[in-house]
Formats: sequence, structure tokens, C-alpha cells
Amino acid sequence: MVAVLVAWHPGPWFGEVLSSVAGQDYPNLSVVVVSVGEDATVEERVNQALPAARVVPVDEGTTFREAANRGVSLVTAAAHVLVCHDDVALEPGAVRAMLEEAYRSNAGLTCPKWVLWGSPDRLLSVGMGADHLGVVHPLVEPGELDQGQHDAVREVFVAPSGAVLVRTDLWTALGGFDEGPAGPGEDLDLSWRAQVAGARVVVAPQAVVRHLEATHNSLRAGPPPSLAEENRLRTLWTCYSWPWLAVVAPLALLFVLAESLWALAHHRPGREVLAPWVALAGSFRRPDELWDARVRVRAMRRVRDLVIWKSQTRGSARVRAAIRARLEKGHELAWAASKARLSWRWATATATAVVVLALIGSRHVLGPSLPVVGQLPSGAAGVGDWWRQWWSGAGFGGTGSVPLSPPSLFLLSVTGTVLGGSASLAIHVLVLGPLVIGPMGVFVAARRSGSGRGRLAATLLYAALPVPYNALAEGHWPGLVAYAAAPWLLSGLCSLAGQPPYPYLSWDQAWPRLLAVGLALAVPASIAPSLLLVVPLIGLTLAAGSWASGNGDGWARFVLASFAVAALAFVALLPWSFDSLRSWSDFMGTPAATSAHLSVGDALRLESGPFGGNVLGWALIVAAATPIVLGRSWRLATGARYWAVALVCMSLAWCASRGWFTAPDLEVLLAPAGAALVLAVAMGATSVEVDLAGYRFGWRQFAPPVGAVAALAAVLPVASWVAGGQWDLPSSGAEGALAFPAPSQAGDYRVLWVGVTQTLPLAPQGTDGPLTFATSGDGLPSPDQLLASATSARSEAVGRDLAWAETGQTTELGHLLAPLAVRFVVVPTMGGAAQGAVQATIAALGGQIDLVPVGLDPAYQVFENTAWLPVFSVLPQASARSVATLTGGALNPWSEALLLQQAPLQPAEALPPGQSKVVLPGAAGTTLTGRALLGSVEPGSWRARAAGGTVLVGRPFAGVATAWDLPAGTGAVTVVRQGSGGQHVADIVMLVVWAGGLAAARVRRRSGPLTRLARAQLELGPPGAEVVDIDWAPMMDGENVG
Amino acid sequence: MADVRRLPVALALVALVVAGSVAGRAPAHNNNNSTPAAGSLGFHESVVSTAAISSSWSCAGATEAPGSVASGELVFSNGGSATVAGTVDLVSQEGYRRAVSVSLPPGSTRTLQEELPGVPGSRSDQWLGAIVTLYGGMATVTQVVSTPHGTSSQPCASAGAREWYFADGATLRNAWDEISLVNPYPVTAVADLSFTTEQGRELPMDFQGVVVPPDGLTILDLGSHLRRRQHIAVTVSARTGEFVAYQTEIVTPPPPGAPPRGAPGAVNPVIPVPGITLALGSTVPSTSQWWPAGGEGPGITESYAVYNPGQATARLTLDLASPAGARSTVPLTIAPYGSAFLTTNGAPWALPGIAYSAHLESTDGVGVVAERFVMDAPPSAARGLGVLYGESTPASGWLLVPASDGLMLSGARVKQLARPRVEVLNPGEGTATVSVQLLSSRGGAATAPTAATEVRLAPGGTATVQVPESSTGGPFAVRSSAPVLVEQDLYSLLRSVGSNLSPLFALRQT
Repeated sequence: MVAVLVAWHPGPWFGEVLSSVAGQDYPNLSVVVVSVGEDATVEERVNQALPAARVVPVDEGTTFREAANRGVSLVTAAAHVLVCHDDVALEPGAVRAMLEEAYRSNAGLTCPKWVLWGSPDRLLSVGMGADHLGVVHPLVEPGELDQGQHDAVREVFVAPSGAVLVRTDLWTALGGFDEGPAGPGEDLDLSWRAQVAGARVVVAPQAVVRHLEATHNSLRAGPPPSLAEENRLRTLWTCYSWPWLAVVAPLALLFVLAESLWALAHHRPGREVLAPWVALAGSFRRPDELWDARVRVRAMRRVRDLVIWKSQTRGSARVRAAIRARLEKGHELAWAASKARLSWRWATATATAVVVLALIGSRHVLGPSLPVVGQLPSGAAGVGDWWRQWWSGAGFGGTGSVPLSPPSLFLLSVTGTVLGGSASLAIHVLVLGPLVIGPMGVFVAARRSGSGRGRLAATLLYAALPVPYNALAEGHWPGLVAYAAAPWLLSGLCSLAGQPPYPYLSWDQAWPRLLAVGLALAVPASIAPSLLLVVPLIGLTLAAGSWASGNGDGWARFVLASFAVAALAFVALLPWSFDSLRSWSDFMGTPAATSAHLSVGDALRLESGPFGGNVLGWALIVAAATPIVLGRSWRLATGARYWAVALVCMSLAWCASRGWFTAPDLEVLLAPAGAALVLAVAMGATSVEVDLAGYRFGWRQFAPPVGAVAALAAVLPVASWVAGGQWDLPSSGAEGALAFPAPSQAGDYRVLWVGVTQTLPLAPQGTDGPLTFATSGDGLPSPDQLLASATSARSEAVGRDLAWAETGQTTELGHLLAPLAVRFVVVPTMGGAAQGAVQATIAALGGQIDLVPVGLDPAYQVFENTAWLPVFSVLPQASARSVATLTGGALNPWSEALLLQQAPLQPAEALPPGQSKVVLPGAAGTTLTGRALLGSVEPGSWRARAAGGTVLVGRPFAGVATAWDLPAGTGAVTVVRQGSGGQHVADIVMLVVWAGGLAAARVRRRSGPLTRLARAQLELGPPGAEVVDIDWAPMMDGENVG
Repeated sequence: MADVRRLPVALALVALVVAGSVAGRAPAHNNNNSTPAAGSLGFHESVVSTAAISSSWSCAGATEAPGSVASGELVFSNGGSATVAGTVDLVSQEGYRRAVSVSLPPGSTRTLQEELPGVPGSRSDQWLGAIVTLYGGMATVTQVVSTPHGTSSQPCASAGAREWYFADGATLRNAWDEISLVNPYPVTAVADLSFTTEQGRELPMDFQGVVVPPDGLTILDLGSHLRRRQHIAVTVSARTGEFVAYQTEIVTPPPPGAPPRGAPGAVNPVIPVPGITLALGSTVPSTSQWWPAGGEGPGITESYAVYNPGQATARLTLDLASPAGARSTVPLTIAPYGSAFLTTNGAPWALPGIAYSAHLESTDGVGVVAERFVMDAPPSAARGLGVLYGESTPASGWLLVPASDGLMLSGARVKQLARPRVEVLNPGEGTATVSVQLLSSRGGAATAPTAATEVRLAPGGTATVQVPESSTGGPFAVRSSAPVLVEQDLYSLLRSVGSNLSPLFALRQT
């Protein structure tokens, strides 16, 4: 047994190499060191470490092939020879193990297991494979943790020449390395020819060799890499027989062309474009030698090319490597992503199931219009009016102060316009769309989980959560929006944090995503502003989950990302969002339904309304516990994060339901909890696939069936929920309570809605004990009234008047509400825990002698105010005098109300309806002299101008309206709303912000996804951190990733 | 990646769930007060609010002009500290109207004779209703009706209702029974009437679908269809809308020798004592109702009429209890839609010659409507008829409005000769201290309670509280440290004044 070691200006590592050879336990080992070039230190070091070794100097410029052949030629009477590089260190026993295996397997070539020089527990190579074109690829993932997963003896196609044990007779028959070409590729050539000659190429993993890869790591100079391609092609031309060469050669030519075009398409330098052609041409250099080589191979051929073909890797190793370089880039997490990819059939089936579920469950509400229930928007106004209201500001409908139109109105307007101007269709899409968008978000978010089955289960489980259906049943639009947004936001935050299973993103890569997530949050936050607070909360809980699992790395990124996303969304909604900071209720939107009073069980089962699985509702909890029970590494950490989000959100919902603090719709909190739980289920599936095998047999082995049964049980209840066909929505909502008359000749009017907040079709504008109230203009509320407005003097007056009526202090509430142009008072009869208050209010209103009960809808008690005044009206002279009385002097509300009730405000001349401009008729014979124009608008918010440009001076009337005295000779008056300019500025600011955001995103997009992928440095941690500290090796077993 | 710790995660999960379960036992903070905002007093009573900015009163049961069959007066009272303005809409069944403005200085009582000058037709049977709106607190309106044989007063109703019940009435040779329905609301109401008489349950077609116009009045003469009925219990139900119902019973002197109502084998009986009673109906059958004062004796005939308007049999007990400790209990069973008329005099359970309070209580939870009916005739010093419905809602404050400036009788104003008595009952379980105070023109109490006007009541105890002397004729406030029930009794030696039993206005503090 002789070891031939080729030394080519070795570095300081050479001593360790020699020591490793000296440390071999095989007793009959001789060593020949072939020293290339004039290097006296080599002989000195060899003599020092291996006194018995023979040093053979060769001339400078001798190639490795020539040097090795020279060294082996000196060997006599040895059955095997070990050819080594000077940068490999043999582990003790490596020679003996290789030799034993060579005899045991009757191998011609035997190669050891290669590991990293500095990390012996990381694999570098266990033999090599090659495809039909001779492209060599590793059989393991470089850097992969060596857990013995590749310790089986097997045949490989290529034995790397860094350390290869060769039977001496075979070496002689093959003529050693082909000395024709220079540069790398000798191992492919030797291994191929050996197999042609009928020899076996075997890897003996028990023999371990550390490889420094000195040339590859630039520790010394080496031959140009382009020669590798040339030599590969030369081997191709040499080893294939003519018939097979006729097949392979065109294929090789095609690949040369493709590689050249690829380089050209990606703007590579010209030499890279030409490199394939240069290599091709170079492979035919010295054709005589090439011919001789072919002749020699033909002479020794013992195996048909078909056998060789079958032992090669199918497909193209180069194409696969190119794809992996971009999509998987040597990262085991990318492998997880690839595993989570569902076949198109499963993906389509899942999507179909979700869509069909939504359609069947909503089949009875797919009609012309959705019932106006709770905070579901009304499409009565139409898309055109939405645009007008968004551009010009809120109409006269509300009593609260609404200086700026909400961006949600813009969203509605855009959606309605895109859908052909159909307000009803837009509302259907925006209300029912979340039933599909939410599960779609989970489908996308779970792609990183690493389990296709888990991804599928999570998607279906999210579609089966009771959260959206409870929100829909109770008309909680913000809850539905939160359901749609939750998985996207959760995924976005995790992605920005860069914690596994998400790749780490540098700032250059992170900011476009930050921008995208911020804008993505702004859209739902325009409907559910509380999401601007919920997202930072989620970020904090994700960080807390990291700490709890002992994986605190990156917690700051969770926090920073969540706050940055919320801040971006806040900016995107400016200036409306800034204006909404005025009060907590503005941000919270509709307060939580305190009537729900969730038990802890209800909160854990996410059952905030009529829908819930009862006992089966616990199944999701059981299924979601799987990653906590089984998970390891990042799967456990991720599961802990998701559970932290779920528990915190559920706890807050529970507290809010008990009235401990003002909170948004419970579904706004329960939706992120549900998303976190189903993503934990997906992570649990990954844990089953990855981690379960690592446990000894025990109770954990029962976790997969239990989790599967639980997941199935959690999905079952939805089958019964869809039966109703309308998610418990009533057949008709507020729009059915009364056919509110058009403003027409009677003039504009308001409708006063009083009841439990959750039953009102608009956001509260004031409180009336446990009840709230709000007003809308000319019938049903417009969508801009779904968000709370600040309390104003007018809303305080309404609350005061209602309190007077309910405490029996007045029987003429209609008169008190007349200056507010309240024509109808509507009380939803459903009151939940406040049913007593609702009934008392209805009784109080019924006791008013100027309110007439009208309407037949049992869900709504409607009263018509017989003393109502239009929003703009002209009072007769007698009334005008009363107006003068009321507006003169300082009166307290009490005496003011008394006077108001006594004032003969009726009859009044109603003015034509109009929201921004009123023109008095001023017809011939009509005299307005001595009369007063009464506008049920906030003092100072409208300006009246007589014909000729005379500005009329308005006076506050009863604290809630404005009165203008009409001087003698007044023929016509124009009343114009003030403050629209500010609204226009606000609209423009918002548009500019959005345009800027989208433009930035577009600029980023122009760089192209492929380029971005090519640039991506997918790592597990921040730059510089150790990349390989993840135990993905077990699941790589058997995976041929080459 | 650093080692991920499973134990802390699992422990945190378990701890949170356990903490949640423990916290789940904490009581919810209920923002939604389910107590009706209207307070403890029902809406369908004559309730006056101390701080009302406006109140509407519905009055009926009277006829137009002095000397008519039930000549009506409206007595306005202002117990507040500011002048109260108001409007009165007098309306006849035919739709004739008259609007009158009133102004009430603080602490004053004013009277308005109900008449419609210039309205064609007989004035003797021109029934009137009044819809009064007063702007201010502590202001009340009382309906008074008079005949030459007596007078009767009732607080006007401060709210309408869909159901009204009357426990007893009669259409005899000398008795007329009129039901007045007044609708203060701007929407038409439609009413159905059903009756229970000694002949059974009756639903005359002419009394079905009775229209009560908005701000209007409808009069129903029960004698037109229920002739010669000794006992009539009435249910008035609204199909739509709400209204206020009064019952006016006019009894003229009986023919000599005519058999009295209730005499065995009597043919064409009569009510032996002339007089007039006005009653505001009861809106809700009650399972427990009280009469603070009761008694019978020579010339004083006391009866209890009980009407079960429901569909379930009512089982009741009538307890009579004197302050001295004498007690007597009568079990009663009233069939669905049935009625009973119990006369105390001569009954084995009677407590003759002593004053007592009466308590009618359901033992099976079925509510009934009941009234105490009194006939005063010689040898008693008092005269006339009185009727008082059982009271079921105690209050800590009551407003008493005596017609201190006299009554218009036969075109002449007659001063009352007897001051009203206030009978007080403490139905609670604690001691109540009750006082009566004259309300001054400054809005406060003009007279401090004296020993004569203040009394302590043990649980279940009754007392008569004397109304203090008043020079202004202003209203009085009856205040108690605990909720009590109060009635106002007026027994005059004058036949023209007669007997008058009346509830008071319940005070709602705001």
C-alpha cells in the first residue's frame, strides 16, 4: 500500500496533512511525495514528519495529473495506491477503512467521506455524481451536518481525486490520469474510464478526510476554472462510444448555446458569453491526443454505454443547480419552502373548496343588495355620491364633527368604479371578499412552513373559523376586514423580522417589503383603524414569543417591523389618520359588543357570536398545540410566537368583552388569534414530518393522529354553518325598517338612530346611557359614517334631549329634535344585555306626543317626528320672531329647550334638497322680508349670501342650528358649505402619499424579480452569523438535491 | 439558531390558560345598565317629574259646562319654583276644539272650567277631553267632575297605554256608565272593548274597532249595548296606537222602593246612593295591590270589585288588617275573564267599626284589577260614592293637589268644607317617616313638618296624615323616608261634594 501525495507549493497546512498520514494505523503504508517545483521546504517537512517517505521532485509546471502518474509509476509490488492532494488530512484509520472497503466491495476506485477542514461535523462530499453531459455535482449539501445520514457504502459516479484509492492494476490498465489536458476534471475522466473498463467506484464513508480546498478558497493559485469545462467536454468526447456520442454531442452543443444565451440575456460580460464556446473549442485542442484517448478507451471498454448512462444522474445537473442557486441557494429553509409547495391539483382543490364554501354559505345574500346590518355599508347613495362625499367632505347627515372624509370612502369609490359603477357589487365584494381573501392569505403565509399538508390544513381551518361568520352575522365589517388582513399581516411581520422559516433580509431587501406591508395595512386600516394599534401589538407578542422560547434573536426586528409598518400605514392614511387621533373611540371604531361577555372558553374557541363549534371548537386548540409538543429548533420557536399572538389577542378580546376597556369589534382581535393558531397547525404538520422521527417511541408518536383528527374536527362545524345560506344575516336590515322617503319637495332631513352600538348601521356620534345614537342624512347612512366622529354640540344636544325623554322630563321630544331636522327616529329592538334600556327608550319615544310610530319591521321601531323641520327651511314671520327670541340673550339649555318647545316652528317652508348649495326660490310675489332662514347645520359651517353678494350674518339657533335673518328685499339666498377646501387638500395629500408609495414600489419592482433573487443572500441570521446552525440534515436523507 | 426551550413555552401556555380560567370567574363590568331609564315608576301612572321641561296630560270623563251631567274642571297646580306656561286643548267627540293658554305662578293652583263656547248641540251631554302640555317641572293637572249629588277627581294621565282595565261599573235604572278614550298622540288609535258582566263575557260589535282620532276623544256609553247590568268589568285594548281611558259613572237618586243592587231576587235594581265616580283605568293587572284606608259601618257600605282580565284563573287572598292588630283574610278564586264583587258589610270576614287597610294578593302569580267602592249614606255623616283602584307601586314622594279654591257646582263655586285626609300605608319591611309639607311659591316647603303632619310608620302600618292649613291653596308634598302608598280621601257633609277617593301624583325625582 502506497500513498502518493502530490505537493504543489503547499501552505502551512501541509504539516497537518503529513501528520495525518503519519497517524494512519495501517501498518504497511509507504508514502511517496511528489513535490512540484523547486521547494526545498517540502522535503524538509516531509522528512520531519515522515522520515521513511520518499520525496520525488518534479519540474515546475508539472500538472497534478502528470505528477500523480509519476508518483504511481514509482510504486511497485503494491495492490493499491492512494492518490492525495496536499490539502487533505486523513482522519486516523481512513486508509485502513478505504482499503477494507475496496476489498469488500471489489472496488476499482474507492473514495472517502470528505468533510470541512475546520468543521469535521459538516459534510463536503460523499462521492460525486455526474449527469449525462459529465456535469459533476455533489451528492450532499455542502455544509450539511454530518449525522451519519450518508454513511452507507454506495457506488458513485465520480471519486474526487483529492483522495482516491486506486487498484494498481486498474491504474496501470487505465494509464493513470489522462495527461493530455491540464486543469481539473481528472477525477471525472479517471472514474468514467474506470467504469467503462468494468471497475466499480465506491465511497467508503467510514474513511473520513478533511479537505481544505486550498485552491478553491484562494489560499494559493490554481488553474483557471474555464479549463474544467474544456476537460469535461473532452472527457465526453473520449468516453462515449460513437453511437452515444451522436446523441450526446448535439445535446452538449445545445447546452453550450443555452449557456451562452443565458449569459447574454443577463448582461454578463462578453467573456462569459463566449466562455462556453471557448471551452467547446478547447476540448478539441490537440485532436491527435484526443483520438488516442478515444482509442484507448475503446480498447479497454468492458461495459456498454447504456449501463454507464443509467448510473449517471438524470436530467441536467447544471440546470438544477442554476435553479437552486436562485430559489434555494444552498439554504435548507428554501428546501422547506419547496416541500410546502402543493401540486396545482391540491392548490386548485383548496381554492375551490374555500370559494364554494363562501358562495354556498352566502347564497341568500348574493342578491341585489346586502342588508344594512350593524356596520355593513349601505349602497343606497351610489358610487357617484361616494366620490362626491370623499372629495367634498361629509354631508349634513351626522351630528358629530367630521372634518375629513375617511379613506375607506375612497376605497369604496374606487372599488365601485372598477366594478362598473355598481355600488351593490362593490359592497358585496368588500364585505364578502374577506371570506376568500383571508384563507388565501393563510395559503400564502403557510408556504414557509415546510409542509404541504400543513399548508392545506391551515387554509381550510382558517376558512372554517367562526370569526368571519360571527362578524358577518352581527354586521361587524371591521371584523371581516381584520379576518382578511390578519394572515397577510402576520406573514408580513414575520417576513420582515427575518426569523426562520423566513430568510433574513438586508435593509436593501427589507424596505420594499416594509413599504408593501405598510400599504397593505393601510387598506384594511381605512375601514378598521384599530388595526394600526393591533399590528404593533402583534409585533410585541411575536417578540415576547421569541423570548419565551429562548430564541430572543431578532426580537427587536419584530418590534421595529411592526411599529414601522403601523407608522407607514398611518402616513398613508394622512391626514385623516392624524385627525382620528383626537379620540380613542375614533381609533377603536365601533366598541366591542359588551353584550357578548365571552367566557374564557369562548375566547379560546374564538366564538364571539352565534357561530361556534362548541365542543368541536376546542379541536383547533388541540391541533395548534402540535408544534409545542413536537417541534424543535425554529419550528418550536415559530409555534411559540404564534401561540403568543393567539393568547394575547384572545385575552384582550376576553377583557374587552367584559367591558374592562374600550376595544374594537372582538373579531378584530380574534382574527389575528385565529390566523396565528392555524399557522401553528401548519407548523405542527412540519414538526410531524421533521421532528417526530427524532424522538424515541413514546407518547409523542400519538400526536400526529390526534392532531389530524383535531384538525378534521375543527373543520366539521362549518358544514352546518353554510346551511343557512346567509350567515345568520337577517333577510333585510335597516333598509327594510322603513322606506325612507326621498328628500324631494319636503327637503333634506335626518334620521336619528338610537340603540345598542352594534345594532346601529353607523358609528355612534354620542351616548345615551348604555345606548348610543347617531344621525344620517336623507335615510340610510352613507359609508363615511361607519367611522366614529367627534362629539359636537349638536350631538350633545341630541343626547340631552333623549335623556329628557327617557326620564319623563319631556313629552315633546320631536319639537326638541326639530332644529336638528330629525324626521325619523329608529330604534333597533335588539339590545342584548341592554334590552331593558332599549325597551325603556322605545317606551319613552312612544310616550312623546309628537312622535308617530310607523313601520312594521319587528327588528326596528320607527317613529316619525310630526314636528320636524327640513335641514334648510324658511320660517314664517311668527316663527321668525320666536327664532329671534331664542337666539337672543344667554339662555341655559333648559330654558332654551322650554322656549323651543313653545315656539311655533311649524309650519316652515321646506327648501329644495341639496347638500352643498341651497337657493331660495325668490319667485315673483314671494317676499322673504321679515322671515328667517333656518339651517340645521353647525353654526359657522355654512355661509349664506343674498342675491347681489350680500353676506348674511348667521346666528346660532338653540345651540344646534344656524339662523339667518332675511333683510328686506331678499330675493334669493345661496347657502354654501364652508371648509371644502380643507377636505380637498386632505384628499390631495392622501393621493400624493399613495402615489409616492406605489411609485417607490414600482421602482423597486423594475429591478426585476430574477435580479432580486440573484442578489439575495439567503442566510439564517444577520450577515456574518453562522449559517449552518440548523438541524435540517435528518430530513435530507435520501434527497438527491443535485 | 440558539437552542429553543420547550419547557418555558409549555409552562407559559399552561399558566396563561389557568390564569384565564381564574380570571374568567371575575364578574363582568357591565356598561349596559339594563334598568329602564325611566326609573322605578311605571309610565302609565300619573307621574310628575320634579325637573320636567315639559309634560303632557290627558284628561277626560267630563261634560261641558256647569250644570251638565258630569261638569268638568281642570285643576292645574305648580309646585315648582318657576312660572309654568302651558296649553290646553279642549276637544269634543265631534272634533270641536278650544285652545287655552295657562300660566301658573310658583306654588299656585288654578282651575279651568271645561266648556266649548259656541259649539252647537246639547251642552248637557257634550263630553270633553283635554290634552294639556305644561312647560316646567312639578306641574300637574287634575280632572274633576261634579254632579249635584257629588264630585270626583282623578289625576290626569301623564302617558297613554295600549291596555286599560276597569274593575266595575253598572248600567241600571239610575246608573250610567261612560268610557272616555282620549288620544293625545298624532296618530289614530283603534280600540276593542270586551266586557264581563253578570251575564258572562260580552263583545258587542259596536264596541269593536272603535276609532280614537289623533288628539281626539271618543265616548262610549256602555248602557247603549249593555243594558241593566249590575256589574260590568271592562277591558279596552288598542289595535293600534295608544290612548287614555277614563270611566265615569253617574248615579242619580234611586226611585223610592227600588231594590238595591245585589239584593237576592231583585228585579231592575238600583244603586241606592246617588253620586258620581271618575276613575282612570288600570293599565297593568297586578299581583299585589293595597288600599291604605278602609272600613264600613252604619251608612257606609264598602265593596271590593276584582276583575281577572287574563286567560288564567287567579287565586287571591284579600287581607284586612287594622292598626290595632285585627286581621281577616278572604280567599278568592276568579276564573279567566271573570269578576267578583265582595261587599264587606255583613260578611263573616268583616271588621266592622274599625279602620283597616286592605291588601289583595295573588297566590298563583296571576294579576288582577281591583277597586274599592264606597257608598256613604245616612246614618253616616258622609255622602256620595267613592271608588279607588288598588295601588301597587309605592313611592317616596307624592304630590297632593287639593281643590282649595272650591268647586263649581251648579254654576256656583262652593268652598269645600272638609279638608282632605291623606291616608298612608307602608308596604315595605322598614319603618317609614312620612311628612306633609305645603310647597311655597319659592319652590321649597313653606311649612315645616309638625307633629301633626309627620308620622312614623312601622312595616305594614297605616296612618292618617292631616294636611296642614294653607292660605294659598297650593299643592302639598307628601314625602317619606321609604316608599309608601298614599290615597286622598275627602268626605264632605255636603251632598254636593260627597265622598271622593283619589290617588295622588307620584313624584319622580330627577
